[in-house]
Amino acid sequence: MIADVKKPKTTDDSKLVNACKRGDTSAFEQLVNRYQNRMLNIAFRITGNYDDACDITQDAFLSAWRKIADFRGDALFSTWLTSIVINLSRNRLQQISSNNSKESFSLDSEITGTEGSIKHDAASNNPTALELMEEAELRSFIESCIRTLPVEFREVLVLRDMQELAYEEICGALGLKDGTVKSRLFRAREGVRDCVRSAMGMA
Amino acid sequence: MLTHEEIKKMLSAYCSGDLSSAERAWVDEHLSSCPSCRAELADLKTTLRIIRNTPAVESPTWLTSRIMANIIEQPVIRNGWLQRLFFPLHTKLPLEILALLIISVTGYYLTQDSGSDLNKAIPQLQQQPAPPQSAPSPVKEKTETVPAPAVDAPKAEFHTNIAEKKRAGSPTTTQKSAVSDKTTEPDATIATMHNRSESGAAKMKKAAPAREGRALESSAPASAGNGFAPAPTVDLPRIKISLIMGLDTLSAKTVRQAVYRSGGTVLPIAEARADRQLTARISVTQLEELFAQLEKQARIVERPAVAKSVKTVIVDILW
Repeated sequence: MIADVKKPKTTDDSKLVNACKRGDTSAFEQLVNRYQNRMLNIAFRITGNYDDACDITQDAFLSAWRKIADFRGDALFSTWLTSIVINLSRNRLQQISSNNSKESFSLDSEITGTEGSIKHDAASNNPTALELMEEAELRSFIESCIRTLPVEFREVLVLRDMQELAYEEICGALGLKDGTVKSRLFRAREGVRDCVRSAMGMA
Repeated sequence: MLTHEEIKKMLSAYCSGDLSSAERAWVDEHLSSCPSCRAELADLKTTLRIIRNTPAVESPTWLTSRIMANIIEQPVIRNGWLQRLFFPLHTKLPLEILALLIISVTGYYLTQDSGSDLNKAIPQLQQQPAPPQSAPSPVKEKTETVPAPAVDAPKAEFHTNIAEKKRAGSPTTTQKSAVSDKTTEPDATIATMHNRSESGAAKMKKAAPAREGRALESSAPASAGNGFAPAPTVDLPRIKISLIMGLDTLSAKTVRQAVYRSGGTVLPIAEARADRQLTARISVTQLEELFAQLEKQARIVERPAVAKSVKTVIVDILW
């Protein structure tokens, strides 16, 4: 994991934000440098498209700059920025899905499949097939499985397990309660696991 | 005791340490006896490990500069009152409008002031006495604070043939109306300057304020008690009509009738002047009719022009 998840001091953020409110673009540039990688990765993991993620990151910072006066500091700047990225990513996905609505059918079917238990029982203590898989191959499976998750599950998985944000920050960015975030997170993990298993079963 | 299905749903939380110690103990206990759950947990852990180790993508090198280029074009919207003033135009338009307004108003008053200065200057330069009649028109509010222009200090003996406009004591309850009165003065002065003596003019300049004050004092009670309609003359433009009558037969009654016939209202006036002057309030549209009526009796020496925007005027008719 790359070290872009390290959280900068929030006091620095609020100072920079205050400077931004006075129109200080160099302060904003510091925030851009600090957070653009995280935001790009969030957008990339949610949309699955690097170019879209770049556009979303640009738009998110532009939007943050325009609305910086509305940011009251109740949440962290990074949380606020993340919520902007999430919203822009959702909008982008909606555009894509309205452009070709066919892709969405497999998402739901995968997840509903996890509700009933898809059984690939390895009834022993032996390493499972998934464990024995080559890491690179497994990774590509997992990444494609993550993309098939419904977006509300994918968001939580990206923010928590990839970006390692605190639950509190995820709740703030998504506007969800703690319990909802956790239940989505746990189901998202199960969904990915079951997706990989079924993909391997089909292979 | 939790069931197998219940435990299975807790495995995801279990592998990321999101369970309470009691829950963890239940899961541990179940795992020891459930190979199926152990396999599920093992796959979950592998999956989670891979997810957590997902490599981050790097930002393109141009991203920062592109973001900043966009930002610099976009002024930040602030919450201050100054910013609200500009919202949502993002321009200084409201302030510019305000500035234009202030400049216009200031300019207007400056012009008015310089106009009155000019008016004062004219009689001095020409050494001309002011119009003879200083009798004030009725005023509801005393206007002693407004100095009478020098041209208002006439000598009675001068206005033999010429009907003179006089402005003294005109109902000027505000400085503003006083100013506008002054601007009309030079015409009257010039129109009547032929009978003026230089010495008279000099005297009049000194005498004017005092006369004005006296005239006002005397006229105020008169207007209150004579039963005339109140004179709503405060903000109305004032014009003057000068008449010459051939046989000296023009009487106040004749003029009053002319006013009535043309739809005007005669306003109260100091009695001392009533045989030489009449003040009336009349609609501009009826002004031509008034001229026509007056011309039956006399020749109009001075026929004032009235701005088209004006609806009603106060007319001082002098003869």
